[in-house]
Amino acid sequence: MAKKQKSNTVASPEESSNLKGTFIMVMILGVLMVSAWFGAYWLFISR
Amino acid sequence: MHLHKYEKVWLTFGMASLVIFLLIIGFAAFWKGTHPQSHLETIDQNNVEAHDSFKPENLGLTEVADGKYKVNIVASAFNYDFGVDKDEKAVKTIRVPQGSTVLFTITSKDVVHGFQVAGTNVNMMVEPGHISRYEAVMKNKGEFTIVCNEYCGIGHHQMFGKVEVY
Amino acid sequence: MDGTENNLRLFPKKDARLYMSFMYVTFVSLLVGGLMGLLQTFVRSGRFTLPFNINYYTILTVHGVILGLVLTTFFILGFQFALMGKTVGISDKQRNAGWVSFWMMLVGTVMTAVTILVGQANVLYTFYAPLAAHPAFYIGLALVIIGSWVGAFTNFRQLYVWKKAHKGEKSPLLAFMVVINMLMWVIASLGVAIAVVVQFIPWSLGYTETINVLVSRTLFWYFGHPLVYFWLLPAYMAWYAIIPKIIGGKLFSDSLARLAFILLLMFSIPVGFHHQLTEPGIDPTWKFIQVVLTMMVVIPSLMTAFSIFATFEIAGRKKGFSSLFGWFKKLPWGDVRFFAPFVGMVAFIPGGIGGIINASHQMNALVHNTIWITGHFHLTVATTVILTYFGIAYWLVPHLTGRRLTKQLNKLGIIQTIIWTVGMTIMSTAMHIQGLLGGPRRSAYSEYAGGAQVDTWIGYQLAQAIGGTILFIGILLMTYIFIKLTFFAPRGVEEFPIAAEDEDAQVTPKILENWYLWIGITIALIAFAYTIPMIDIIKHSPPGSIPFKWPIGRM
Repeated sequence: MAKKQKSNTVASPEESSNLKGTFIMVMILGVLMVSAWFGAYWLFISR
Repeated sequence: MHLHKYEKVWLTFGMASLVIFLLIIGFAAFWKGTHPQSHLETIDQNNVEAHDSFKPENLGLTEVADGKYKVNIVASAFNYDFGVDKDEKAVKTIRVPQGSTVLFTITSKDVVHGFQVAGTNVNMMVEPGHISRYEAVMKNKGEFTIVCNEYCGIGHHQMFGKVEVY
Repeated sequence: MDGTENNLRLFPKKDARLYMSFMYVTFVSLLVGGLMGLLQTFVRSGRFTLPFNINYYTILTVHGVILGLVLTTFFILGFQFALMGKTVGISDKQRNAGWVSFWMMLVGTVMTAVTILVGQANVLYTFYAPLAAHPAFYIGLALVIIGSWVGAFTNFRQLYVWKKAHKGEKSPLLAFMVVINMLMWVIASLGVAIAVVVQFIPWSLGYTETINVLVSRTLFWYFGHPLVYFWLLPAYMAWYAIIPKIIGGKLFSDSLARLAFILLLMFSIPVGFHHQLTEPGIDPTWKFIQVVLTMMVVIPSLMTAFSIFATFEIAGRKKGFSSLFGWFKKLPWGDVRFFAPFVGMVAFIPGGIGGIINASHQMNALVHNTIWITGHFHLTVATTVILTYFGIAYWLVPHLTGRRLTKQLNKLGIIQTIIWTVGMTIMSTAMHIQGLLGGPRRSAYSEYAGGAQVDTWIGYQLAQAIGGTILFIGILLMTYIFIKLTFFAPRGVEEFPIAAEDEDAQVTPKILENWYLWIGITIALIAFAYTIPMIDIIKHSPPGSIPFKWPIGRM
């Protein structure tokens, strides 16, 4: 789905926008997701 | 459609995590055989005694080999039938040594029940007409409550038992 | 969309009356259902027994049906009708259809509620065949669902008429989202409608002798998971298209929002087996296939997370905050229309992560039917979804009644949100931990076989009673705010905050509105995920089950 790069070759306004804060936020969320899942997996294995 | 470059990184990370989760549980399920309980064997719920596992004399705990046990149970509202002991009293506690492998086999005579040995991975739905079966290694010592964890009527919370791992 | 002007134009009275009717039922349900929840936590603390011989499972059934089915469905239909009215308009005929939908749902609700309250339907809202409730319970539920379909088809018609009048224009984003949600709802609720009409009603009336239990469960869960997305999507609508306006920003991306909704339509239905992972009678390979599809439905939520943070950051930076997180501090924390949904978003982080754990095939045994699950959906539906609904109500209700959200009411709303956060943190955390320790859900107070394990559970149940009490105070406060906004707040015009697109935003690809394509893929995915296992289930059926009345206390 994500590969559907249409013929929109116009320079996008978003590319220039600064989304560093957003990126850090979502990555924190991602790390939480992965660690919680492995935590649960570990509990499952140890029982 | 346009994705910001950070969003691409984020979605790649997110999707890769999901793929890793799936690979781990998929490997465990298909190669190590640790699927969730899915026994696929049916039975006539109106005549469960006809099945060898659920004959009254075969209920409860049996040692089948060294360190290997089986436990057969018939569930009904609101009781687990683990058979009777020498004094003809209903068994409520199953005792097995630590590290033993126990095969739980259970079916229902009436409505839908649950069967969980709380604190272990033994957690099954029990449905009329179907046999549920799960083999577990009792890794940890302790007393584990058996609870009916699927609603079966107004006495649902009075349906329980116990597993002691010594 | 002509922006602010349209946002400030109040609805004609006759339209507003329809939308408000749904809101009345919503908030009455909140109070009744919330009271039941409070009583449940009291009973489970072991320090309290219900008066007048009321059964625990009666109040549990009321709690689930009234909050999970009635409150949500009424709020969603009312909110979505208002969105459609605002973005594409409503004709006299369509409004009448809206009323038909409202009354059918209300009659169904009353029938169901009375049947439960007189103790004839202690079957919880997931039905539990072969436990047999009084036929009125099932007939009432069928009416609620069919009534909601009348609403859905009215919404489809509204957009269709608008499209015909606006050839070549893309549909308004919110109207598009409403139609996606209703499409999903209709496709999904077909499953439960078949179960109720074909299986439960004839069986409970005695026309058929037995019921196929596993088929009924599979049909229910085919509906049961998209049901939770039906609750969530209106919250997403607010996050994507309303919150940006409230924080003084623009839409992040019209096309990404539409894409996320399309993905949610496609992947939220063929995943019902992840509620049946520990059931016998379903092939584990098909369970795993649906687990994979379940993970796919996470992707649009990952996209949503990014969109939301980006909306915040862009809005903040446009206001001139250049430091890495400066924009975050400057969000309108004092505005309850933002603050309540924001807490909802935060709750969706542990809520969503918990969901991924629940759906992880064999790992489900860790949590299945434990009170962890109850803790999980009290984060998702009872925090994320409901706080966003509250956040909507703070402006929608006064917009409909021609009043204003005053400073004082706004402040009460902030306090309400904080109370909810505190109460839910205590209750949900206690439920999560108790669940991991094996404590079961859907159970009245019991000491089981006794021992240390059970003692630990009871300790957490006490914590849940404390959290539940705090939450109920929050419900009382919310009811007060609703009454104020409806009858007593000063007259005026409250904005209907719909965010506009950036002037230089990219063109939304036409393919996103190719309904045949998306509905086609959705149906194909459902057919793929369900056909073979369903044939398997039917072919390998055990004898059917007769109705069981005595276990639920029916004579």
